[in-house]
Amino acid sequence: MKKYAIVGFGCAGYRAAEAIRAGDGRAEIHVFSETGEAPANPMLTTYYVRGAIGREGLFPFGPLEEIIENLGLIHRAEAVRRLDPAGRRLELDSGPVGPFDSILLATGAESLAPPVAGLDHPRVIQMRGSADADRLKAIMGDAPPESVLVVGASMTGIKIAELMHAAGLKCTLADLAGWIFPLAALEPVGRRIMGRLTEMGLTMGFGLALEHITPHGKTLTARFRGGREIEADLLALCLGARGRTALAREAGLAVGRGITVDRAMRSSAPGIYAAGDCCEAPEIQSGRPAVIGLWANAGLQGRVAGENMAAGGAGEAAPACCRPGVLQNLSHFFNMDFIGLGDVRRATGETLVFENDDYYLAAAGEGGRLNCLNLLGPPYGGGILKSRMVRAFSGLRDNPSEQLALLAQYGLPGDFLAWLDQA
Amino acid sequence: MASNLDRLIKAKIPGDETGISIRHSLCDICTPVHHCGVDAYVKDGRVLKVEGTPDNPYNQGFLCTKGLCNRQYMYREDRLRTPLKRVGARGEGRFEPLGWDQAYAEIARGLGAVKEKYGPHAVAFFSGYAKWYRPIFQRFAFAFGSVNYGTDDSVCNNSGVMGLKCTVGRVAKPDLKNSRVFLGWAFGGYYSAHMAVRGLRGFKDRGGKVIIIDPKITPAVKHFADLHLMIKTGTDGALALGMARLIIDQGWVDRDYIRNHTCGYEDFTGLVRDFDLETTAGITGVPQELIYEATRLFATIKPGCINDSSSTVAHHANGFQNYRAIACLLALTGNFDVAGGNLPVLDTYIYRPAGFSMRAAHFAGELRPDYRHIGAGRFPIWDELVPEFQAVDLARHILEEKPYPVKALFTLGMNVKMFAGTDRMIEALKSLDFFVNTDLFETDTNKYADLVLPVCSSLERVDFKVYPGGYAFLTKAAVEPLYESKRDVDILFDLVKVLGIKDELLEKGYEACMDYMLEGSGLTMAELKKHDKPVKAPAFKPYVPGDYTREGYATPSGKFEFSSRLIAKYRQSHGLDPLPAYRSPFADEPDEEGRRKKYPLVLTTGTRLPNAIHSRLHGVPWARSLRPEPTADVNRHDAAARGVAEGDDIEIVTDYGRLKVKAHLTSKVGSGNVHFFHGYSEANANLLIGPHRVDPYSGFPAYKSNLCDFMKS
Amino acid sequence: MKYVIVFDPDRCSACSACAVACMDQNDIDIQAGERGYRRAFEWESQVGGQALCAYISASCLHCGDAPCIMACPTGCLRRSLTTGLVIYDNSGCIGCRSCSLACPFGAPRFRADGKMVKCDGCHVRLENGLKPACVRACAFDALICLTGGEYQKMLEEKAESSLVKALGVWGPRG
Repeated sequence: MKKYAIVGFGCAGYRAAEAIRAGDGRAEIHVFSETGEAPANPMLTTYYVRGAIGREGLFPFGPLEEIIENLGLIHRAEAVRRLDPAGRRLELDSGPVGPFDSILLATGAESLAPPVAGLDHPRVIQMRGSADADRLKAIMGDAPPESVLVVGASMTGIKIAELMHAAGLKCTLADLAGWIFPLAALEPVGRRIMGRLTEMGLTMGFGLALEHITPHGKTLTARFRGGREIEADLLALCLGARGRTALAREAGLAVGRGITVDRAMRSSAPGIYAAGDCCEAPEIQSGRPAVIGLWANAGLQGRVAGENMAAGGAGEAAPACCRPGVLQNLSHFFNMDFIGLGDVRRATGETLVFENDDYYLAAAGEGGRLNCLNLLGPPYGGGILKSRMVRAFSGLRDNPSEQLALLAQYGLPGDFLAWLDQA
Repeated sequence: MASNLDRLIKAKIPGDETGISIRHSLCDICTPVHHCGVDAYVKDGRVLKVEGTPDNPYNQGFLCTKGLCNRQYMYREDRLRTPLKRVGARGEGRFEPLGWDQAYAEIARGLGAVKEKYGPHAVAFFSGYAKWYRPIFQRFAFAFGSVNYGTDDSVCNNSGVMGLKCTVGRVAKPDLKNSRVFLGWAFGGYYSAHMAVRGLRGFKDRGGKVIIIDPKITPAVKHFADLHLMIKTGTDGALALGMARLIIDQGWVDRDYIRNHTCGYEDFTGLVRDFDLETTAGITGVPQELIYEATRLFATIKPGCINDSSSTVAHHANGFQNYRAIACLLALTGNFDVAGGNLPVLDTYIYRPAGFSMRAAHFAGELRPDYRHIGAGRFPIWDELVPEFQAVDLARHILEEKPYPVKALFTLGMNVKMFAGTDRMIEALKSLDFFVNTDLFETDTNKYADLVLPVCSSLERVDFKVYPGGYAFLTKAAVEPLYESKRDVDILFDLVKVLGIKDELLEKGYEACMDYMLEGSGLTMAELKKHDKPVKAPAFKPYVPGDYTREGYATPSGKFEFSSRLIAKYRQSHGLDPLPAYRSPFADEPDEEGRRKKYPLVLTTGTRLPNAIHSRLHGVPWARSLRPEPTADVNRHDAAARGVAEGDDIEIVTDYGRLKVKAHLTSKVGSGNVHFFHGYSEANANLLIGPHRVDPYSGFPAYKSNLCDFMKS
Repeated sequence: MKYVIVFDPDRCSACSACAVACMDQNDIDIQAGERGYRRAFEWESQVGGQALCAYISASCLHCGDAPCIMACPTGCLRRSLTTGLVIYDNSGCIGCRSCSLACPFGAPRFRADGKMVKCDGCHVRLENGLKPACVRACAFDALICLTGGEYQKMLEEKAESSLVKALGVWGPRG
């Protein structure tokens, strides 16, 4: 009987467990999770705070007990302190475990926090897990603040801003970058979004680097490089997330921005896999490894890792592979849908803007071949365009013209479709 | 989580558990040539969903786009709920509800006054597109004492029927099942006759050759055509004569058939001399090689048959003769009344041949008064062949009061937008003393009526229907008539009493009338009531090809008349040509060349859309969502030359009027053509067509060919 | 039993009978801004100066390895165990658009209340021995519903629709 270990139990860990169980009905699957919670989706925290979903909604695969039962897991709510890749063992506070036939690192990501003073104040919040969400919900419940400063216009940042704005708070959105979504938005689109937010009554503070936070009674003062100060009752720090790679790094595995894996989710050490937000896998546009921190990616990677682990892993001739991802940003906020596809830094060629009553699009590319696309407007068409880009980056050129027909059905601008049709 | 029962109800699963039952009815949104069987899913007296009836002998379970709209059609928000009496000025659209008894009393008063003052013929009876009540309505009009009964047949398929009657005495339909080559003249199918497409698919799968003659690229062209002749609109007669000359010159003629069963062949060969390949190609725009190849295929593969398209080919100022010219190809090739050719048919009941006889025509016409009807003498071929008035003359007659006044109209489902030069018809309606209309919905026509009566849809009534193969079907109401609406025939039977009409059959009511018509079929109403699906009539007799030829054709000569003896009677008086001579579709226009310069494009109205039939579905959101705005299909190059882009507002201009619509750019429409569907209240195509543009043989309007131009609006 | 809804563009005329049947089955309220889960339409493109026209009927393709299922952050989407179709319970939907961005066909739509809706393959009808409404309505056999076995057999005899093939979403998964 084979023994597998999964370290971290989020989306990737869960999908891996599922795949291992499907491939090997008798395997021992050991899961180690610090939180002791069911797999949670960090993206849902703001929806929970807003009341769009109940607390159970944070856990899309259901309660932990059910999962353990259904997948036949051996679950331990304990942190893993050390990984021994050669021996395929793990060290917990309570002692060593293993050896295992293979180990999956699915440790997820943690919030980025700059080394500045004042972060430990109770009215400074960061959003990653369900505990953060509970805390924010409590703050909003008993003595709701009047103003909020959101530092970091990340996915979470803008959702917090939306939430606070809807609750009637005076809201400032600050970020180091020159415009919103600097990695996903082409400048005209980023500025357009900021213009819309300003129209809605938010204050924009872009190009600002946080230096420190000082409490004054019930308000906090955030000081930025250059001397600018912004006061608010509540400060939300949303600088984005970084893969939790310490375990891998200390064990000597190759680590970049995340644990380096190939398309079969194998790390540099035999028998050790990584999946989800903690790893960097090949990105299709650049061909280089990148962390694409998306729920769907984590799921796919976890599944591929699980399949390969169950199939015997390292030595397999034809392991299951993840289709390389493409950078994407999907933001549904303030009654807007922003979709960014592709890497802004690789936005070569001409940048064209297309517009009609419904859509505002900026496309970078050459001869109808997109390398970066921004879409503001209804979300429809985003998936079609994404699949088109992924195909193009994969070297496939025979895009079915029916795709353009579908886009026309969704009302995308005719001149944009004509431009695409050149490819 | 929803309970299992909730899931089943939401999914509309029929059964005892859900309380959803299936009732068998029929769809009469379009023509009686279809009237497909409908399965209505009913719960608590409300229709939840429709599907085609799987074992219906005609539609075998399939409904078209329009038929699938039945639920939203019957529950349209603008359904009339009660009888209405006009309180505002004519056209203003202000009405007050009133009870049925009061409405009937008003009708008795209004019609009575006109009858008394001007005589019974001053009351004209007219039916719009609906057909199911017609024999009863026609008898009703005649029993009232008026000769003036007319219908939308004046602009529907009668031109083609008359053309064939003049030529060979009967309509003839393609016998595709036994054929090897199909000359799909104006065959579209997909948006007007879904079952014909299934038939053609089978034909094609069996190896049949398909030639399609159509000025548009259609799905049928794409999926079926071995050859597509993209003909210039309205030049069908020239193509047929060119093909005829080729058949004669190449010796592909069926000499035995010509010798034994036709007359006027010599004159006909003289007529076609002018149509050599070069001339024919020049007129029709079809390349010579394609004409040759199509003719060779059709004339040398036996048997072959020709599509019978009643409106597309006939709705031109030259349409009647074009139709006859095409029919002549059947005689030349010996494909008339043979298996796999075109087989003669007789209607059993309301335009539907079913292989047995009923006494519907006799019932409808036996009381017809002998009097000069509206339009008499203007279109003599019509007068000879159709026991109705030619309604294109109705507006003129009312306005001019010549040769006698018509002061009241009693109409069922009249649609003013049907009339070319709708504005003139409206003017006529405004001048009437009394006008009653029925409809399901609020309509443009109702606005001019003194009284409007609400009627119900086919799913709300008992209806009698026949289908090919000897089938008869007495439907049962799937749900009760909505609101206070009634069946049209019930209104007529009520009025027989109110108006004191003396006619034994009408006084006895619906079942007695139907039993009278059913006599000889082997069926009775009592028998039909026992079944909830179509049953076979004992009198059904499958047609044996050649029977009609053996008994002699119903023409003056008893033969296939290349040169019509009936038409010859009016050669002198009306300048009609007994041979199917070709003239330009615009030859009736004064200064044709000058007009063509001013209006370089040809407007075709009524080209079928999948989601519309006349004006009936424009108000149904599901149907309307498929093409939300009145939109003309224009050729890409013509649009580019006028600076018009997709979705632009354009103005279509003819000598008669102008209309603002949206442009859809396409390559499926040939350069020089504009196609626009009719029946829109906000963009009525018949404001672009003058009432004077009619075919002198049939009186039919030139819906399909009018000189026009368009420009960015 | 697993089912596959197969579209044959060589039989389609974009008549939209399928689309209307879908609206009738699913009580689509056009006036409230909704649209049917299946749509049919024409498409013309110019290839080498020649006009090519296509007739298309499109809805959710119930992909073998459906990217929307993986993308849904709240677990609303799943594969039906009885029919193999991609079904959903949108009571937990947060309207985040993730499924929409994952779908190469743009199938998921969002209602006025923000909840995702899409074609569910009429899986309850299938469970009860009825065909999906669109398939039932197609008089031209452009849409047919096959069992998994029949579908495999068809693939051996005939190539798959270009759209599906090009996008490669019909995998052997599941």
